[in-house]
Amino acid sequence: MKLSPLLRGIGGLLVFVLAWEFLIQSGMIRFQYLPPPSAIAIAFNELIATPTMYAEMMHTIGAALGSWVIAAMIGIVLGAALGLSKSLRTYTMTSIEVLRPLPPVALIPVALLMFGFSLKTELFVIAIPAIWPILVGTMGGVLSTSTRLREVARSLKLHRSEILFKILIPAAAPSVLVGCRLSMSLSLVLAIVVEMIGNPEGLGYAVVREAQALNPNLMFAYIILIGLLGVLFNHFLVVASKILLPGEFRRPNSLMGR
Amino acid sequence: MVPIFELEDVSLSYELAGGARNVLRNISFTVSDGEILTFCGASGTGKTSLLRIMAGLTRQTGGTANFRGAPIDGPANDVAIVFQDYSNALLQWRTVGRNVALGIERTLKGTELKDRVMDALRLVGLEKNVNDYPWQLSGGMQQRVQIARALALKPSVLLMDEPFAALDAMTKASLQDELLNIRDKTGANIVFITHDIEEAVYLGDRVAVLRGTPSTVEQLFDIALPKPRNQITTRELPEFLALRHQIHDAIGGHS
Amino acid sequence: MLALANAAKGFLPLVIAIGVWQYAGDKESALFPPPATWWPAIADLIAADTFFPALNATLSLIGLSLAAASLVGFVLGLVIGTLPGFRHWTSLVLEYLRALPPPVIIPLAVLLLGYTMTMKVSVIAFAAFWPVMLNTIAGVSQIHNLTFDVARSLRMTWFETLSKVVLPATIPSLLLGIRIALPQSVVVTLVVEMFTGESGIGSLMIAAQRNFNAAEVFGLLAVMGLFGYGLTAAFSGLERAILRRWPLSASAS
Repeated sequence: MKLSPLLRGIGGLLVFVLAWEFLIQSGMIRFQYLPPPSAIAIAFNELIATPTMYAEMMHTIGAALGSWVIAAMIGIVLGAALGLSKSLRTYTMTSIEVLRPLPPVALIPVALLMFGFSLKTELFVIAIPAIWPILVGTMGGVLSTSTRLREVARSLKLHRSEILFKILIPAAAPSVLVGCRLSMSLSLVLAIVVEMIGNPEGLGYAVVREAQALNPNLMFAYIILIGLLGVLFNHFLVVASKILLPGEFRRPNSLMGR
Repeated sequence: MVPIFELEDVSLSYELAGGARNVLRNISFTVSDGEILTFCGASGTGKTSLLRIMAGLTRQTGGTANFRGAPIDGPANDVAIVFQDYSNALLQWRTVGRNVALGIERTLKGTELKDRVMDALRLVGLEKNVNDYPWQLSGGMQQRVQIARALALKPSVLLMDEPFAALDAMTKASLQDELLNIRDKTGANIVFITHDIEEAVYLGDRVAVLRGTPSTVEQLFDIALPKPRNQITTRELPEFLALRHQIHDAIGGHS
Repeated sequence: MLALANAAKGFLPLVIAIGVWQYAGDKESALFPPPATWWPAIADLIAADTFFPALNATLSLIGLSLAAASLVGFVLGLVIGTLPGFRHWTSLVLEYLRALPPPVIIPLAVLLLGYTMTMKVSVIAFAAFWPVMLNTIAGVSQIHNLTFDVARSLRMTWFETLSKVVLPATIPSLLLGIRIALPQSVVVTLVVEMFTGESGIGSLMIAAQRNFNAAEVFGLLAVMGLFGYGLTAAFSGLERAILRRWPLSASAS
C-alpha cells in the first residue's frame, strides 16, 4: 500500500522524534543539556499556558510585521520607479549594488548606538535589509514586462493609466509577491537576531534568557515555537498569493512554485 | 540465417491509476541483415515504446522480442540509439568531441579514442566542431553530434526515434541523404521511426505502418525504389507517389 | 567604457550622501561622526593589532563553515534528489528545520558544545546548508529522464552515471546554492561573533558600540559593506569561470 506524501512526511517526523527520544532514554547519546522530546513537549505545554509568552510573541510578530510593512511600502515604490525610469536606474544602481550585500546584522551596533534598547532599534535593523528583496522583485517584474507586451498595449491604443493598471501591475505582481515573501521570512529571522543581540525583548531574548538560566526544556519549547512561527511566515504569503493570483499557479515555470 | 530482430506477438501495457493502458498488441515482424526498416504511424501509436523495447530500455508485457536469436535483456552491446530530443540526449557541459567519446572512453584510450571520435565526426561532417559545446550549435548540428556518438560505437544496428522531427525541412533533407550515405559506408542496419510518410518511404527498404490503440502492425510495404535515392527525382517518381498514397490510407487516411 | 561611465554615474547618490554628511553634518556629533573620522578609527584598530586578526578570524570561520555546508548540502541533496521516496519521508522535518531562523540555535549550540570552534562552525553551516541542499535536489530533479536513458543505452554503470551525468549536471545548481548561502553564512558568522563576543569583526563591532565609539562603529560598518560586496563579486567571478562550459540558461539565477 502506498501512503500519501503528507502521511509519509508525518511518518518521517515521528521517526525523527522517536529516534531522538530513544537515543536519549537509552543513554546512547548524552549531553548534559539535551532533553528528550517528551520533556520538551511537557515544557511546551506549560509554555502555551503562560500569559507572558503571548506578550513576547506579540512583540516579535509586531516588530517583524511592522518592519515588513515599512519595507514593502518603500521597496514597491522605489522598485517601480527604478523599473520605469532608465535614468533613475543609471544614477542609482551602483549605489544599490554596493549597499545591498551589507550584512544586515552589521546594522545592529549602529542602531543600538542611535536608539538604544528600543523597538526603534528593531524596526531599523529589520526594515532596511527587508527592502532589498521587494525592491529587486518589483524592479525586475516591471522591467521584464516584455517589450512585446508593451507593444500589444500600444497597438490596442491603451491609455497610459490603462497600461499601468492592466499591463504593468498585473505582469509584475508575481515577482513583487516573491520579493515580499522572501522579505517576510527575512523579517522574522532578523527580529529574532536583533532581540538576541540588541533589544532584550520578545521571543529571541526569551531563548537566550532560558539558555543562560540553564533551563533547556523551556529553551527548546521557545525554539519549537519560533520554528512554528517561521513556517507560518513562510506560508502566509504563498496562501495569500494563491488567492490573489489564481492563474499564476497553474502556469508552468511559475515563479511561485518554490 | 538468424534475423537481427525478431518480434513475436509483442504487447505492452502500463498500470495507471485509472486502470491499465494498452499501448501495443500482437506486434510481429523481423528485421533482416542489411535493410532499413521504417516505422510510420500517427502520434500516440506507441512508435517510441516499440523502439524502446527493441533498445532494451522497456520490457514488453507479452510475447517475445529477440535480438540475434537471444531474448532482449537490457541495452545490447552493438545497438546504438538516436533520440529525437537532442538537447537532453547530449551532455551540454561536454564538448562535441567528449560527447562522441562518451560511450567508448571506457574501453578506448589515447590516440585510439581520438581517432575513433574524429572518424565518427567526419562521417557527419563536424570534424571542425570537435571543441565546441553542443549549446553553441544549431539543432541540425546537435543531432549530427548525437548520430556521431552512436556511430562511434561501431554498432551493427542504429535505432532512431524520429531523429529529424524537430528540424527544419532543408536540414531534414540533407540529414536524410547523409544517413543513407553513412549506411552505405558502415553497413549498419537501421530501424527508423517517423510520423512523416515521405521520410518513411524515402529512407526505407520496407515501411511498417502502425495503427490503432493499442496499436499493431497494420501493413508492411516493400519499397522497390531505385538507389541511390535523390531528393528531387526519387520524390517525383510515380511509384513514390503511389506508395505515399497507399501508406497514407493505411495510417488512417484523414487530412 | 560606456558601462564604466554608467557605473560611475550610479555611484552619485552614495557619494553625495557621504559628502553631505561630511561637510554639512555636525563635526562633534557623538552619534553621527563625519566619514573622515571613520578611517582614523580603523587605523587605530590596525595599530593596536586587533583589526587584521579579527578579519582573519571572520574570514576563516566563513570559509570553513561554507565548505562544510556545501559538502553536506551537496551530498544530502544528491541522496534526497535521487531517492524520490526519501524526499516525501523527510519533507515535514526539512520544512520545519528550514523555517527555523538559524540564529535561535546559537544558545542551544552553546549549551551543548560550549564556546568552541565546532559550535561556531556547526551553527553557521546549519544556516548555510539549506540553499545548497535544496538547489541540489532541484538540480537533480531537473535532469531529463532521457538523459538517464542515454546513460543506460551506453551501458554505463551506476558510478559512471553518477560521475559523468548526475554530478556535472547539478554543478550549476550547486553553485547557485552556494551563491545564496554565502551572504547567509556571513550574517550568521557575525551573529555568532556578536553573541559570543570572542573574536572576529562581529565582536569588534559590539565592543565599539558598548564603548560608544561611534566612529569605530561606522568605520566597521563601512568595512563590512566592502567585505560583503567584495565577497559577492569574487564568488560571481568564480562562478562565471566555472560555468563557461554550461549553457547560459544553466547559470541563470
